[in-house]
Amino acid sequence: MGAKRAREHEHELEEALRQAERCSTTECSFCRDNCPSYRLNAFESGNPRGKNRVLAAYSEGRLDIEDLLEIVLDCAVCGQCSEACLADAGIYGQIPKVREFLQREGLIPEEMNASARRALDDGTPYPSKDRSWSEGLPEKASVGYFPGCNVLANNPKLAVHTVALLEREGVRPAAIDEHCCGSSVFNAGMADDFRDNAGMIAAEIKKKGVKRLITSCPGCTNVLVNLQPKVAKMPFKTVHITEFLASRKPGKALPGDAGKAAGGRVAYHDPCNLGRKLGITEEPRKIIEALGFELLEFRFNRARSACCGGGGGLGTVHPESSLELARDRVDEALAMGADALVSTCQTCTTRFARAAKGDIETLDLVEMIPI
Amino acid sequence: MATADELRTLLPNARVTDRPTDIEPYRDIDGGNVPVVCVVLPSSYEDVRKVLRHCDERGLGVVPWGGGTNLCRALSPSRASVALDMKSLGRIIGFDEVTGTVTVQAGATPDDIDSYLAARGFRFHFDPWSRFSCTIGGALAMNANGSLYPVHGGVGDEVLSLRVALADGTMMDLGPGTRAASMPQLFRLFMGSEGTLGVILEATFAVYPVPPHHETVGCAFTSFSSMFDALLELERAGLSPDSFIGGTIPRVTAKLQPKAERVLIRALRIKAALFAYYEGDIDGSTARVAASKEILSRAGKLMPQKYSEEWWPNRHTYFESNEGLVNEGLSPHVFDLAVPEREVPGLVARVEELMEKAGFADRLSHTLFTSTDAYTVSLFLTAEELGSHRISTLSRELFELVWQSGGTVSRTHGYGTLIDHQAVQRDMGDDLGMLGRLKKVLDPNGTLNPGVMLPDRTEVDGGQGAGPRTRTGGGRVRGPFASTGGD
Ligand SMILES: Cc1cc2nc3c(=O)[nH]c(=O)nc-3n(C[C@H](O)[C@H](O)[C@H](O)COP(=O)(O)OP(=O)(O)OC[C@H]3O[C@@H](n4cnc5c(N)ncnc54)[C@H](O)[C@@H]3O)c2cc1C
Ligand code: SF4
Ligand code: SF4
Repeated sequence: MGAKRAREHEHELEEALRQAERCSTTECSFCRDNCPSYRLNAFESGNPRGKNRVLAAYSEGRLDIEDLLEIVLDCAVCGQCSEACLADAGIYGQIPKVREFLQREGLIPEEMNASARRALDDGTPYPSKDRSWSEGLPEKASVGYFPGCNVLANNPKLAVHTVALLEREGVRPAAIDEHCCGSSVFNAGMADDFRDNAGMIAAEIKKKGVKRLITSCPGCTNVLVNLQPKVAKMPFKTVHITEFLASRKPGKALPGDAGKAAGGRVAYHDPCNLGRKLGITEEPRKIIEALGFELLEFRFNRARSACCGGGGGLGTVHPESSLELARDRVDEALAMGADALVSTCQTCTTRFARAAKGDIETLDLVEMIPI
Repeated sequence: MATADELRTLLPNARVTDRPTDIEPYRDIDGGNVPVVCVVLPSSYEDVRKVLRHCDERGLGVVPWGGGTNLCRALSPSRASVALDMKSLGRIIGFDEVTGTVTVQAGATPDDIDSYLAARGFRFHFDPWSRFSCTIGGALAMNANGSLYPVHGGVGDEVLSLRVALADGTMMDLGPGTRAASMPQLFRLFMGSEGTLGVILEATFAVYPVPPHHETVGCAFTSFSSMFDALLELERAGLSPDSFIGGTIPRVTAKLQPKAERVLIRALRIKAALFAYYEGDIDGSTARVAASKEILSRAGKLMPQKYSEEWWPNRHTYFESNEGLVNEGLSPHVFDLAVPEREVPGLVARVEELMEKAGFADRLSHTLFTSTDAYTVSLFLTAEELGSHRISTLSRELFELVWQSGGTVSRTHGYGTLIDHQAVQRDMGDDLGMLGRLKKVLDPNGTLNPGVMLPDRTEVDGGQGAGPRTRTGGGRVRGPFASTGGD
């Protein structure tokens, strides 16, 4: 078969192909059921095992380079397959490499590139960025706060609320919001730009004397903790706000303990980036319980949590399908009898709110904590 | 018109694809160039019937697809076929707490069903290692079984009724739906027939409340035979476990254990280990555990409770505990055998000898899983060795030993196209002839899974529509838990 090949950059796929081979000796499909991409494309090509087979078929010359695009852009880069795989063959770890390869071949769709370019040029992939939240904060401090572009575009109140909580704990952070973390740049496979952007963030943080960076967005947190240190020196410690709030000295009440009246039943959704990629699963639960809510668990929770539909640029490339995934979560929360669907990620809560259409209250955990 | 276009017109609500990216994973399953022409995700039983009728009239094959987890290349038809992916029909249709029954569509996974039932205080009896990924239709078609085999038998043993579609599209509801009926249980024909007689659409199972208590006893032994004898003694004392796994520790994995365990294994000359699981009401199971400990402690060394209790919650991720093996690039390759109980020790000794000669003694394990006649030989192999000629030859020699012991070479992992027809004939004897006759009646055009388990009609009578047999062996053999045929 005369499949179209892209010889020039093919060596970049070597590890991905090795991994597809590893999968082929097992093909257990343990990674299938909770894969958001499979929920959208219910043929085998939608699930991680099928994606591995497609990669292998490309390497064996049976498929065109364009065929790779379909399996790669459907992927929410949620990490579930690598978590489920016992043979170290989940395709998650290889998707960025394949996207890089496709980027060099000029095959990444324009909407993804445009979003990445905005992140690089305007410091946010979103049309706007409200920076008024940081008025009055010090120029320099040992603790910095990085709210993330999504929060500033869609829910700047959360940044203000978080600062108020930090101040109540005696922390006046420096504002870190000049640059985007670059996740859309990473998702579009622009490796060099991603590295340069990481360097700029590191420089901003260094200039402000920050040693400990507190974040709101799990996506940014994952980029700062897991991805940027691979390409740039990041000489500071990153802490997600739920870790900060839950790591109070023993005996000291959690913020919000006063407002026990809450009493309702809340379903907590672990964001992929927080629960799976950073292992922060118990801290949010501790806060929910300390706030006096009854905690309800999804069938797939913690490290095996399902995707809200917003990961990996899925919301950009497949907006409608991405909302279907969010609706699945809403429906499960309703079936459990939850009064509210709670998460601690702006991507998740925005998507849930849109998908819920008022059927259930959707909340950010940090906003539930009274000042 | 291409088949996919015809089916799109015929099935407006189904999803039909012949895009190269989409059909590749169906063609490439098990490394073969499977002649799948298009894939259908049916939206209803009516869609399934239409696909069958359409293909049956045109000499096209139909491969019912479940989770694609079978280990015998049972999704590899010998001529052009439509893949009918039944995972799109995976709903749980109904649960009746009073009668203790659940009705599910073929595409549901055991884990889907068990999660649904768990929320209602019940559990699903079929608990294989592939519980997250195999489907009920596929499991019934393979007559699979899982860890609760001693209590509930295989997946098919708790079936009360089945809805199936035959090759000509006829839909049938088989089985009385209760146990109290003297009629022939014809629905059992479909169990273990590897999708060759009909497409399973729906099944009703008896289900039971979750037992209130369970406990596991772990025991280490200095040889396979001391473990085997201890199991027989438990049996004689009426203390057979409700589930168990027991086997020799392959030397290669013993070497990969953390240092403390390695030292312990050597110091105590541990060669085999057994995990025996008991469940029921707290008094009953605790008493059985105490009595079983008594017997086991005479034959071996009881493990600390902490180790013993680790097996049950981790029973589906056995492979994970072998991270060392993954790092070494080794995958367990399983020969899933059924051997008369009294023959097991002798066969184990002969297999040991065979593997010693073949140079695999270090990478060998003998295991009994849920039954003393369910003997599994595992070899830990590199990717190159999997599916190699050397392993094929070794399989043949192993099969001979099994047949000489009066056993069969496939207990639950099926025949598919991995085990050649001669070997299937030797295993099944007259049952294969009976299956052939039934096939002629139920699927006279040989539409369903051509060439799987039974020779395709085109191989037997040179009928029309025969393409060359694409896979007479070779191809990829899956590692973990994969059965090996003699091709
Ligand atoms: C990691 C792993 C662990 C495993 N653990 C076990 C275990 O503990 N116990 C055990 O017994 N097996 C086990 N197996 C083997 C495998 O899971 C079983 O054979 C399984 O039940 C097959 O189900 P499936 O849905 O994947 O079927 P598939 O592989 O999709 O199909 C198997 C056969 O059934 C036919 N088929 C599929 N659906 C239907 C239908 N609706 N109607 C008619 N025919 C159909 C197919 O055409 C094919 O011939 C394991 C496999 C793996 C990879
Ligand atoms: S990363 Fe997530 S979406 Fe992508 S293949 Fe894996 S499980 Fe599916
Ligand atoms: S869990 Fe791993 S080995 Fe199994 S199918 Fe998925 S990627 Fe392949």
